[in-house]
Amino acid sequence: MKKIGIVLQQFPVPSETFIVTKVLNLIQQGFEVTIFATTKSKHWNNYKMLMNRKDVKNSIVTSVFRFRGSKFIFVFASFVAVLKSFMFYPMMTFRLLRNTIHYSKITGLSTSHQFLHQLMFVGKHIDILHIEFDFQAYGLVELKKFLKCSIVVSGRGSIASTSIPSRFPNFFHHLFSHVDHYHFISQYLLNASILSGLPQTTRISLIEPAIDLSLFCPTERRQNKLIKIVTTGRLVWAKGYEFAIDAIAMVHHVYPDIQYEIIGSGPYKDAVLYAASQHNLINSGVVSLKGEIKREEVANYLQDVDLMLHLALDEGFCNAVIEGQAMEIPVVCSDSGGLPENIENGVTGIVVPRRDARAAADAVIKLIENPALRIKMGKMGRARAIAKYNIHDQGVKFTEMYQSI
Amino acid sequence: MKIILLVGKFPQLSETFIIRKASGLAQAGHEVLVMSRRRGDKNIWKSFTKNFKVEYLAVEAGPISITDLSWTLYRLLFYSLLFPFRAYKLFQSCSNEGSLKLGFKKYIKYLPFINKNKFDILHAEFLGLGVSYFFLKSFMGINYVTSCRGSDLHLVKISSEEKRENYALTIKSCDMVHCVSDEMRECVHQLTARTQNVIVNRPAVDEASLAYRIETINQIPQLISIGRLEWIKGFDYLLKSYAILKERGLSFQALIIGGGSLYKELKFSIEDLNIQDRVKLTGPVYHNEIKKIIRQADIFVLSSVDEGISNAVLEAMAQEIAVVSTMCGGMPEVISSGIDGLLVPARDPFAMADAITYFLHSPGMRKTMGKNAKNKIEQDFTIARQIQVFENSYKNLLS
Repeated sequence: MKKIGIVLQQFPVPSETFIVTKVLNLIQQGFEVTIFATTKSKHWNNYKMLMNRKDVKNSIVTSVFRFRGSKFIFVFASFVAVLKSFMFYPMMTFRLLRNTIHYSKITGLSTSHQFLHQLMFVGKHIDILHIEFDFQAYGLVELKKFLKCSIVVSGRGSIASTSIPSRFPNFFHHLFSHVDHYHFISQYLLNASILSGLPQTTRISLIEPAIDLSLFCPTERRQNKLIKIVTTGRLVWAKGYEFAIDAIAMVHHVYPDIQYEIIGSGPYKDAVLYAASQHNLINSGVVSLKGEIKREEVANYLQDVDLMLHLALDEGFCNAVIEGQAMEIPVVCSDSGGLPENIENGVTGIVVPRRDARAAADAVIKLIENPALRIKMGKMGRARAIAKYNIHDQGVKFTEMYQSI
Repeated sequence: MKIILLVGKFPQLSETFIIRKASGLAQAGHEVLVMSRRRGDKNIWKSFTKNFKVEYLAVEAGPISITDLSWTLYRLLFYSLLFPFRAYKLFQSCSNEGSLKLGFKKYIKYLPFINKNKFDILHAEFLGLGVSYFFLKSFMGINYVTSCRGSDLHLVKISSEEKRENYALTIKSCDMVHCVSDEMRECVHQLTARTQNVIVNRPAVDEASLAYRIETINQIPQLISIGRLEWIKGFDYLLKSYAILKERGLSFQALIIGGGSLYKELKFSIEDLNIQDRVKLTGPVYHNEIKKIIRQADIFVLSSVDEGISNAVLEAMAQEIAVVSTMCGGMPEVISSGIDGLLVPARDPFAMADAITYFLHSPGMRKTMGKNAKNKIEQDFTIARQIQVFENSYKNLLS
């Protein structure tokens, strides 16, 4: 079977559960999987499906940057790693050094940094190197010749949230000229990459992420006195929380019996809290920030939610609204990026213009006033999630993709 | 009087009012010492006269330059020897800190104040600093003054219980509280029920910038906004307003001046809203150049969701520029809506778009309101008055 290397920053991370399911599935299919992570993850114990999976744990290789916390230890660890590499794989390490020096002239990245990062690939035999986040690809696609492997890169919308393309003018050209197969999770991201100059010759597949439908499954819907509206997502600018709070304030004006909860943590917390307190929604208990909830408990939490709100300003693909649909929750979302593909407008939810609190409020009010429509949209959402985002189909598509390379 | 002004970074672009206050007080014959936690941008000095002393503190954590390190070593050696009793007193209170590391950090932090006993007043210019250095009130037995300038106090509402109590304690027990607006005083009252020795001293504009106005004629109306690119300045709402204006077919050019953590996000939004032909982000700009840019503008827009009193708005009003501002913090104390500017509710892009449309349609009204605005600044917001108020209230505190 083919040997697949999966490159990411950490494994596992709570917001990237789809990768865990994917890896487990690939192992089950008989692929030999190695995971290359930049740093170590602290979240191992949060995953029930990874318990007693020593094989997965052993297949993880981490770079020396996991020691970056302390300067002294980092220098020492790097020294040991370089020495070890030269001792066990002298030729290969030498080739890597040459490769890095050659490419760092082209990419403009620091040679020593690149060499230390790529050191974890020495001595590994891989047929396919899958870089899961395209912002990491710059500086790793150069390994193509060195490892004699095919390069697969996933477009998950992570580039947009970094400053990398603006720092390196050569970014897209360099990336696209090395990638053999580009995987996108939404049509929106595919189109965006074509606009950035993705050549016609690069092979493309569009595989939408799957979710665990047995976990995200509505059991008994608890009845609330208040209409419970929820957003799940990190507290960052891109999620457009300020507009969501404004919309909730407008809804609260008409229907005081609502409750809005936000699941997630992040740097934008002050902005969100302040917006809510300015609208007098904190002390009255209408808006509450619940902080982060473990992945396994999110499904349970969603059991009694009546409505999901997601007014992102910048979103490549939104797992949260898919999970909402799977839980039979109608969704009101903005028309940013991939969101209009993530739900079916008028069927499983309502799409409103982004940055428009009034339109969002109107959509929410429409759903509050019409419980039958909420139930109907919820049921359609579940059906859509089963049809489009099931793990089985995703696994089959990935297997096909890897076999076609 | 001998006065210490305690600041976070000095000199700093967004805080030139500290320089003006220090040199104003020094001109009035007082001894002023600015103590700053970090070194700022020296270039800012060029346009100011320096008639007061500046001393840099050793920062307890984080990277430290060679200069700061040698100062700290110098203090450790000589201050401890020259002032043995006070050094011992400080050492004693540090030994209660628990761990050796924490105790040493505290010792380093307060060591620079050990030879400042001749000073009468210590004014922490920002609430956060006031809370952080509150130990000095009892240690030095000095008259401790702290400033509430806006967001620092407003954001206490949403912070943790512990932080709120900490802030309340400082505000309650310091000798004098300086607020930049009546609204701020109300906030102090709400948090601590304190009314004694709470003074309101609004920010001010340099006489020099009032002195002249270049009459510029723009074919296309120029809109400008100034502020750090952070959520508190509400630029997301502003961009939405500009998109509404473009949709209405109005022609204008807008500048947003300032740097900050949301630069990339706002740039994305400008392209996303398809207003890149109307709106430009300049990044950070020097104070002197900001004045030049303000002079060439037709309308100044403040979109903040929170503010004490915006210095930039005062500056614009002094230049006879029509101002559209959100109703936040102390702004209603500066602008009488419809007379010397327009006020709109915060977080309401449509209301803001309407106000700007009104100004775009009537240049006459812009002129009238600009004139009124300048009159108001000349009457109520001059540096001379601001320094007078500080001087008097310091005197009252000492008598």
